[in-house]
Amino acid sequence: MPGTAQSTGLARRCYQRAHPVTWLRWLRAGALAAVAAAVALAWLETTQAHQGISLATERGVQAVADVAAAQQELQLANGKLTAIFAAGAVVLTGPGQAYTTAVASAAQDLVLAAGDNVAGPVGGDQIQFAEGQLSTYRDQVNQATADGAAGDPVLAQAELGYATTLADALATDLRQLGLAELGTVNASLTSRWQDPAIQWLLPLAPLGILLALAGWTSYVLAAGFRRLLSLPLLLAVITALAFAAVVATANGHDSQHASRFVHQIISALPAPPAEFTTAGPDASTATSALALLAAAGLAACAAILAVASYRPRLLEYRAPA
Amino acid sequence: MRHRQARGAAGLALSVALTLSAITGCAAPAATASVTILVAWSGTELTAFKDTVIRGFEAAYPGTTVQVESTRALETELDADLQQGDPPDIAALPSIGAIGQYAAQGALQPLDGLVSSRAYGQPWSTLIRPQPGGPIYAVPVKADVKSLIWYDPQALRQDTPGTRLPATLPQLATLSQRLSRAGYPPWCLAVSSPPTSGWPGADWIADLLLASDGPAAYQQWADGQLTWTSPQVTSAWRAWNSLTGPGGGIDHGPASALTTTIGSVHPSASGCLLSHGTYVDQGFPASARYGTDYAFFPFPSASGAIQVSADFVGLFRATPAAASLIRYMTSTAAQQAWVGYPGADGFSPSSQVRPSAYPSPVTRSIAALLTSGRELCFGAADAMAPDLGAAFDHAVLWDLAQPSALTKTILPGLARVPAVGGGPASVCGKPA
Repeated sequence: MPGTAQSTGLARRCYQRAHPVTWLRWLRAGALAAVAAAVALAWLETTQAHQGISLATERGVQAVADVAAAQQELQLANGKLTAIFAAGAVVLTGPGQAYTTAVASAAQDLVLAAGDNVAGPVGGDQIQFAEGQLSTYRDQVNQATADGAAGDPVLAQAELGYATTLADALATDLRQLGLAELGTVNASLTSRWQDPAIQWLLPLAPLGILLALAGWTSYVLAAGFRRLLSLPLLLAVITALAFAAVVATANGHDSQHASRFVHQIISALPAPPAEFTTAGPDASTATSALALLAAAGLAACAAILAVASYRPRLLEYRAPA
Repeated sequence: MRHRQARGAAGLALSVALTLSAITGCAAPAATASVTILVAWSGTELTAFKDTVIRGFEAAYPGTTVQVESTRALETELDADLQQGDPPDIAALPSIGAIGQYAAQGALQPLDGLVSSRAYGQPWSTLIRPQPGGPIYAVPVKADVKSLIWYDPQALRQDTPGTRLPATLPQLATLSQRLSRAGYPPWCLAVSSPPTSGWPGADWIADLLLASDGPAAYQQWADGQLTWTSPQVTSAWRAWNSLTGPGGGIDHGPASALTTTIGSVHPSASGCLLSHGTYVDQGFPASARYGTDYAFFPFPSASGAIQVSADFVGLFRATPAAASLIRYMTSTAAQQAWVGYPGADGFSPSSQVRPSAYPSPVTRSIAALLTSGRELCFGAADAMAPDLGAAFDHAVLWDLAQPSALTKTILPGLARVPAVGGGPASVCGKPA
């Protein structure tokens, strides 16, 4: 077994470079740092994942719904307008109450979309553009109505055609806007912070270091103190692993739940965009707050146990009073 | 000695810090600079602009990105942006009337020092100053010729053997009548272009006035000195009605023209035989060959003056990157690359760009008109105040639907629209 003998020799040479107490102090600091790093990375992962979840579920999905509603109201408005012209009633009724209500709702939906916009300046510009287009459409309808009321049916019909062309173009613009909002929602829900591998890896990576430190501690204890194992240290490692598992599971659960929630909302829209990429509906609910509280307790326990595990051996070397 | 060493170290640290701050302070903003430009171009026109001017600019100014926003309702969009205090850095406007209004509102930034009027002949060098002798507020980057009549040479030869191309307005009217009497619909006309439907008719009427009464009357009309109910203007409208009115020569009649989209009809053996307007608005298929399948002649005019249009860029936010883009767009290299793009079908107002820069025989022929020494008159509808220009377009629609209302309602109605005065000194001029 030359390899084993060689590594044993290397460990011994390394061990001999410092006093056992110095080693224990370094190892205690290292163990605490590993637990702290695990907590920090878990915190980073949790905040980033939940930032994306909030963006998607609180504003993003609402922006998509606002734009879809504007699209539907516009279609309704133009349909009602066409019916009024076809019936020859425009002379007496103007564009009609149904048109007026629907087009006002479309305008209101765009105002709401501006407040919920998650697609950044590009989305903001598109909303502003759509508002301008809606205003142009209304002007065109007013012109068609005025020509109709003036008893010029040929011109009124032509103007109605222009209004319909503008409404169709606006519908296309709104579809693009909806896709831009949806793209941001999708990006938030499929970012690397929502990736289960990252959600597990980030808190577990420092705990790998903790495990290595626990192994070296055992060697130092065996070599310097004729002891095999520190039970509190073992418990600290197990508690830290439990902490990582709770955090990763809770974050994963919240990510999936957010995807399903958004999917439910978007599927219920009158014309759901086809480009949505998340999973199907699920009735489960978020439990992250409780889980994260438990995780905080586990992290504190792990840190206390890690400190406590080194204390007895360090006290042995403290000079008598 | 130690003190001197400490001072040396401090000096070195300061130098390093200053160098770093210079790198991060000067280079970083340039790396993130962006320019927004609002345009009304679409399709190949827009692609040509992006592929030549924007790509060239971004290559010449690394780290500067340009966001091109295209809209069909440019002025509506721009007004909304200005109202919200968030205008684009640059906008390309086809109406000098609108440019005058934005300049008067203080929304446009002067361009003196950025561009020189010496790069342009008349009428461009006058048009770029909304007030005579005032600052430059816009610069033309793309021009077009409106006074063109398009025809299918083979079909015209076949349907009216021995016909010579008209050189005067009466000859044009005679040709139109001959074709009509022979059972061929002479004129293609499409005016549907929401939200600015009607403008092809407005251009045609402007050409009729320019051809019959000359640049001086045209100038007076554009200025508002020649009223809409004047004999000259009324006569131009009547001439248009005689070409396009009932029993006249529009393929499928005026009601069809109202609902036909611009660019969807053009002269062909199976349909109408003549059309008026710019090349890009004819919508000839890519397979059609100039000279064989289609050709043009200048609108017959005693003075030889032709009507032109242009897109002017105005600066709404005076950022260094936006200023650089305007300087680049107006450079001869960018203008040549732009007009040389296959299918761009636009023309440079710059006197530095020669007809040889154009990629096809038809564009070279049209470009030659711009530099032929003919007097160029800017489109009257685009020179008028925006409200009046829009009313003119709508009056065209009204006249197509109800030509009997021309003198009773339409022209008196146009005369009541306030014409904001104080435009450029002249809309007509001979390029040097």
